[in-house]
Amino acid sequence: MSNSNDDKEPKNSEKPLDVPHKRRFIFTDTDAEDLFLSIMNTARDPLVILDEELRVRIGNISFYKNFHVNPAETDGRLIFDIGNGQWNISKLRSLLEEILPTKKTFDDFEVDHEFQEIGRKVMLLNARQVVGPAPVSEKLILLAIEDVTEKTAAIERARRLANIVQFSDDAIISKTKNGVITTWNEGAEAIFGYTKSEAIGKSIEMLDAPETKGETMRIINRIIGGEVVHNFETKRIRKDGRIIEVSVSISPIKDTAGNVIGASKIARDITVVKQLERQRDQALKAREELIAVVSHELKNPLTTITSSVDLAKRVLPLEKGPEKAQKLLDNIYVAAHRMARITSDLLDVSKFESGHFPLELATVEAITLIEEVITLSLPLALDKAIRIEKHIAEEIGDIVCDRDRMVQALLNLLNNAIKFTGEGGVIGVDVYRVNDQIRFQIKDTGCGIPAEQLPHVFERFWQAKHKQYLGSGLGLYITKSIVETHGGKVGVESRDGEGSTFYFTLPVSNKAITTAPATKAA
Amino acid sequence: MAALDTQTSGHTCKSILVVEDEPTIRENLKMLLELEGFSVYTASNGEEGLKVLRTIPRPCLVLLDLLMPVMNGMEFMEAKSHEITIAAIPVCFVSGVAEKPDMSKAAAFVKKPIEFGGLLKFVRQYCGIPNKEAKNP
Repeated sequence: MSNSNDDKEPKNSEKPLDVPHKRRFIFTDTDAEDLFLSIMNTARDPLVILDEELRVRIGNISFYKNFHVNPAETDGRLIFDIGNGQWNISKLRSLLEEILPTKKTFDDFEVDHEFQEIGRKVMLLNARQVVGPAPVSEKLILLAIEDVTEKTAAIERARRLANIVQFSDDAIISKTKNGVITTWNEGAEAIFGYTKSEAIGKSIEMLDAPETKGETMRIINRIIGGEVVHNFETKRIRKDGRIIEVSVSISPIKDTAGNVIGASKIARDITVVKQLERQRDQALKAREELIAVVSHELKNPLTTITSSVDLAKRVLPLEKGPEKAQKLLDNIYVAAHRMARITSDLLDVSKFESGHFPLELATVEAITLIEEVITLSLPLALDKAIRIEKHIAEEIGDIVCDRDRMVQALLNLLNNAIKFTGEGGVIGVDVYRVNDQIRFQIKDTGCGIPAEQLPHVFERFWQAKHKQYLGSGLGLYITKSIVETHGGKVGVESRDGEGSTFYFTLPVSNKAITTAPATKAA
Repeated sequence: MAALDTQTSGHTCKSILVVEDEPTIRENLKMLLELEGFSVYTASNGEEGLKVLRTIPRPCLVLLDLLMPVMNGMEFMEAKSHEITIAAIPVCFVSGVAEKPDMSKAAAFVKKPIEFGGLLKFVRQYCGIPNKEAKNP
């Protein structure tokens, strides 16, 4: 409800309030009252004068401004009633009603109150019970209200910050330009082993490890020179002599004039992280080496097996060699080639996963790429009397790729399609443009893939559930890795029993990097 | 190491040097190429390969393994390039190395396990013998 009968005074007016000087409040003498009002209004803190019954006699300009009220709303009203009862503060009540009548005065009482309209205020209250001028000589109460909301908040912020610093797991240290330690938190105690009292006043150089001697002072000098040091990884020595690896960030401490007077350092102990990183790198390297050695060492015996079988078939006169012997040699040949395939797939996977997969990029015509792959697959297709139907759009464009790798990716898809298509079946090979992408698509007429299996076909070691088609389970994974390394995307669509369509897209090349070597297929 | 002049195929005899440390692979390559009518010289490492190259009539091709004891394939390439009489003889790498080798001085790279059909096609092409038996239509 609005208590205001006087709407000339907007509550939140920005302009100074027009305090009615002409009215007589306390003094009979006009000059004395003017002087008194001037003193009141000169004070920066809110002041208010109450009568014996705690009704507002007058406030100063600061009072009206700070609490967003005006004389019409306050004068003559009980202080607890003003501003919709916002001043009905129990602590203020007890101060004014209980303490003041007996003690006549109170100082620096902190009152923390949430005002409906102006929000939370923290106030320091001082009050005096006085006797007004003769002849009335009434009892009056002078109430000074210092608004310490900002100051309290600043102190609170500083305290919180100090807490964060003090209890941080990182070492937070400050030091002078000469390297004398001035602050030392718990993190620093834990990381470097010195207590606060042991560290403060000492030189920061005590933390230099033998191999980083002089580094702390060099860093301070760089900071003084205006440099910023961020996440610098180095070594330091603990009180117990242990060398630790730390990541440090250092920034200057400046005085109000902007001169560097010291430096603050945040140091994080990364010894364990570094150890784990080294272990991980070693393990990755060891695995890579193992796979490389194993697959390379396997290649020689495999070459002996396959070449011996090949030779045996060439020297074995057909008329003398029973068909059975030929069949056995075929079996050895196929198995050895499968082993060779698996070792080389494993080697590729190890390369993808270690991130060491170099590409020899060149600009390649999409059409020659697909023709080469079809030529390579033809013997397999002919064995099963499978017809390959090509649909290759004209002017299809070039792609930038590692030719051998891209042939490998496409061959995996086409050979898979042949593997899963029955005798005399058809395989569709489509190459066409979709905006700035070239789409390679291979559609088989095999048994299809059940819907629940589809999301997993490009995963490592996924294999179709048909015992007769054993592979390494790595082919599709390798195709996906090759395509993605080239910035492309792979996909599959399939209906159980109706064949599958595998595809991938690659960005069309706009400029030639180099000319691809003319590898002639067949 | 001797040149066997097998002329089973009837065409002009061409010779090839096989440098390979694995004895069975060396022997198989020799046997295969001899069946195809080539004269085949062999060596078991790069150093031996250089010695043979200096003494034999110029072969039309060297099949070179890369990882070998004593002198490996790349060292052989380097040494060969400094000897004017043999520097120009073409070389085809035959290796199971995981990384594709530096091909700047090589004519070709055949991966192990060797696919004989592909190897023969390439050898015939390099030795100027027409690939008469076209397998694939």
